[in-house]
Amino acid sequence: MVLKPKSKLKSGSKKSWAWSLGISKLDSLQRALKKLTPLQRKSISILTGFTLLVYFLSSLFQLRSGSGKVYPVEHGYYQNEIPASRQFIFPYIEHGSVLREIGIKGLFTLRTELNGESKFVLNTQDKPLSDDEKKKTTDQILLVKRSFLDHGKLVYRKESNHPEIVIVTLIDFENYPVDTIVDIVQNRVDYAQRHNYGVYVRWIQEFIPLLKSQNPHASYEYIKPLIMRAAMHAFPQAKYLMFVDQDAVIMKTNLPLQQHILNPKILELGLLKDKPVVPNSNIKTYKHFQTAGTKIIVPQGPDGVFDLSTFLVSTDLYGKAFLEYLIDPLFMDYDWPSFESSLGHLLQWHPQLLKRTAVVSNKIIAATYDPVKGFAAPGPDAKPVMHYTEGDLVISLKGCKQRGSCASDINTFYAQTRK
Amino acid sequence: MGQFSRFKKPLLVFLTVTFLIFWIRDNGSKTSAADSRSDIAQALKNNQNVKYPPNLLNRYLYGNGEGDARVDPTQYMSWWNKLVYKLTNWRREPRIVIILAANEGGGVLKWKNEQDWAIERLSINNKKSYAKKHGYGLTIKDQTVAKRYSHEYREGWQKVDILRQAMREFPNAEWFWWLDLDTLIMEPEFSLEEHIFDRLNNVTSRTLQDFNPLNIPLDIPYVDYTEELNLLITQDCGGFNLGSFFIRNTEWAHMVLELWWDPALYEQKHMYWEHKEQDALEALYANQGWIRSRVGFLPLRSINSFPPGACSEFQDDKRFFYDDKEKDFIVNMAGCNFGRDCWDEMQHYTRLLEDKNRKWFSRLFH
Repeated sequence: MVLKPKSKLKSGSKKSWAWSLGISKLDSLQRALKKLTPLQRKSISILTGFTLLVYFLSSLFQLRSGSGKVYPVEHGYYQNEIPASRQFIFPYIEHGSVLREIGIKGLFTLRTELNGESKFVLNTQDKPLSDDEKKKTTDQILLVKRSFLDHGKLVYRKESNHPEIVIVTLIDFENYPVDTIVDIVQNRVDYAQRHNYGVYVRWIQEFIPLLKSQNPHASYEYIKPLIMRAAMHAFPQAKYLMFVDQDAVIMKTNLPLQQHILNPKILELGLLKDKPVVPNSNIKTYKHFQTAGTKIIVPQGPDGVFDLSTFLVSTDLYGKAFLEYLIDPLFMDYDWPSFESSLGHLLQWHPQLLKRTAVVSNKIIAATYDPVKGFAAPGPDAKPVMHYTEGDLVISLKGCKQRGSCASDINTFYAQTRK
Repeated sequence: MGQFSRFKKPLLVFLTVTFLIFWIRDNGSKTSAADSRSDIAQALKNNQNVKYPPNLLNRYLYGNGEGDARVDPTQYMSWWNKLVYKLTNWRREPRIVIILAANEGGGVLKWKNEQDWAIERLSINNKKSYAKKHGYGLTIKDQTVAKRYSHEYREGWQKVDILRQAMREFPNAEWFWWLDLDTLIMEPEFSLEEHIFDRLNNVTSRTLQDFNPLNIPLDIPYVDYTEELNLLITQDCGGFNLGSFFIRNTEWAHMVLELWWDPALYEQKHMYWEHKEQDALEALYANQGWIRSRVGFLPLRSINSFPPGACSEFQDDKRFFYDDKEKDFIVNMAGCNFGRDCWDEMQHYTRLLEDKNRKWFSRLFH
C-alpha cells in the first residue's frame, strides 16, 4: 500500500498561491519606489552605499587585528633547528675518539657565576654550521666540535610516512670504544628499519650543561627524561617513544612493539597490579588498571625497584607533563637519592599519572641478563624465571659495569641478533 | 485535518524516542576526529565490541589525549545509567560556573564581626544576581581553616582542592571562574562571552613580553603557542594574581591541578613562597613548556582591577587601578585586611555600583 498525503487542497494550488503572494509583495514595493521623489531616492542610495562601505571597512580591520599577534614557534633547548633528512637520527660515531681528545672543556664554554662557581653553559642561540662553511673549513677538530653541538638541533619534520614509534638511546664516548657504540646504534637501526620506526640517539655529554652535578656519569639516569623530551620534539608526529639503555640490546628484532607491549592484551599479562610503587610503600599500583588508557610504561625489577633500562612514554599531554615535570630544574635538582626515587615520588603523589602508568615486570621489556644462570630458554614445564632467556624482546645488561664486561657482552649479544 | 491526527501519536512517540537517543548519546564534546577521518571511523566501527584496541597507538579510540577534551563523566556508563544521570542533572548544566570562595578563615582564628558578615552578604548577593542575569552557575565554597591544610607545606592547597571539587560538581561546565570574596562585579551588564571568550585571542597575551614584573624567562623550550587557552590569569604589580581567574574544564586543567602542588617543590621553597599557590604556579610556568602552552594573560583591569590601596607603590600606573569611567568589569579589594579597611572599601564600591546602575526613572523619586 502506498501512503499518499491526504489534503483537501488540490496539489499545486498551495504553491501557486505562495507565488502570487511573493509577486504581489514585490509589486507593491515597486509601486512604492515609483512614488518616491528623486531626492528621496538619492538619499536612500547614498545611505545604502555608506552602509556597505562601513561594512567592508570593518571586516578589513577585523582581519588585521586578528592576525596581529605572532608568537614564537616551538623549539627545544636550541632556538635554531636543522631539518633531519632521515628518520634515523644518530651522531657521527667515528668522532668518538676525537671528541675524547677535545674533552668536555673544549666542547662547552665554562662560565663563572657570581658566587664563584663555574659551570658549563648551553648557548641556546647557537647557530648551526651551514653546508658552505663545512666545505670551506679544513680544521677537523672544529668540524667534529660543530657536529657535536649541532646534533641536538636535528628535527625530523617530514610528514609522509612519519614513524609512529621512536627508539631512543644515549651513548657515551668517554667509557665505550667506538666499535661497541657502533654495535649499540646499529642494533637500534636494525630494529627500527624493520618496522619503520624512528631512531633518536645522542651523546650523554651533550646534556652536561643541563645537569646540576655536570657529571654525565653520576647523573646518567637523569638524562633519560631529557633525551626523551628532546626526541618527542624531534619527531612531532610520533605516538610512542621507547627508551633503550646503552647497556641493553634489542634481541628479538622481528617483534614489533605494536604486537608486544603496546598491545593491551600482552600489556595486561606483564602488568603488576596492587604492588607497592616503590619498596615498602603504602601506595600501590591500581588493582583495576585500564590498559587502554596507558600513557607511560615503566618496568619494575623483582626487588620492587624501577628498572629504567627501557621504558615507554606516549607523546601526548600526559607524556609531556610526565617528562617535563621530571626535568623541571626545581624538581630534578632536589636532593633525590636516585632517579628511580624521584620517579617513585612523582607517581606516588600524583594519581592522575599513576592511573595512566603501567608498571610492568621487567621480564617483558627489559629482562636482566644473569651470567650465572645463563640465557637458555627454559623447557615447557620449567618454572617461569625472571632473568633473560631466549625469546625475550630486550636483554638488559644491568650490572655489567661491576663485572667490567659491558663491551664484550654487547658484542656477543649483538652478534646473536645478526645470525 | 482529521486524517492527519491519526499519525499524531506515532509521530510524537517517534520524535520523543529520536530525541532521547540523541540526548543520551550526546556527551557535549566537540566532534571527534572520527567524523573527519574515515580510517578512524572504520577503526572505531571494528572495535566497538572488542574490549581492547589493537594497540595503544590508536589514540583516537580513547580521546585524542592532547588534553583538549572535557573529562566526560558518563564515559563508562551504560545507556540507562546515562539516562538516569541526565535526568537528574539536566537542570544544572551551565556552561560557565562562578566559584566564590567565602567564609575565609571561618572565624577560627578570629571572631567574625558584623562587618565581615556584611561584606560576605554583599559580595555573595552581587555574584548571585550576576549569575542569574546571564544564566551562569554559581557555587559558593567554604574556605574555613581546616586541619588538613594547617601544615606549612599544605597551606596553599585549599584553592586547588576547591577547584577540583567544583569540577566534579559541574562536570559539564566548560569554564570555571574563581572569585575571591573581596571582589565586586561593577558592570553586571557585561556577559563573560562578550567581555572575554568571544574575543579570547584579542584580549589575551600568551607571553610576558609586555609586562613581566617577576622577570620570568621569556623563552623556554617546548612551548607550543598554537594550543588552545585553558587558564586565563592576570598579573598585578607583584606577579601572578589568583584573586580572579578562569580555568577550562579539560584534561590539561585536571593535570595541572594535580601537579600544581608537589611536596618536593614546596619543601625547597616554602620559606620563599609567600603567596603559596601563586608562587607554585609561577614556578611551574617558569620551567614547564606544557603548562606555558595553555596559559593566557588578561590585562589586570579586565577582570581584576585594584582599588588605590593595593599596589600602592605604583599609584601612577594606570594598568592596575579601577576606573569607573572606563567601565572596568570588576574591582578586587585584594589584601584589604592587611592594614586597610575592607568594610570601608566595600561600602565605597557598593555605593558606586548602585549609582552606576540606577535607572533614570529612579531619580524621580529622590
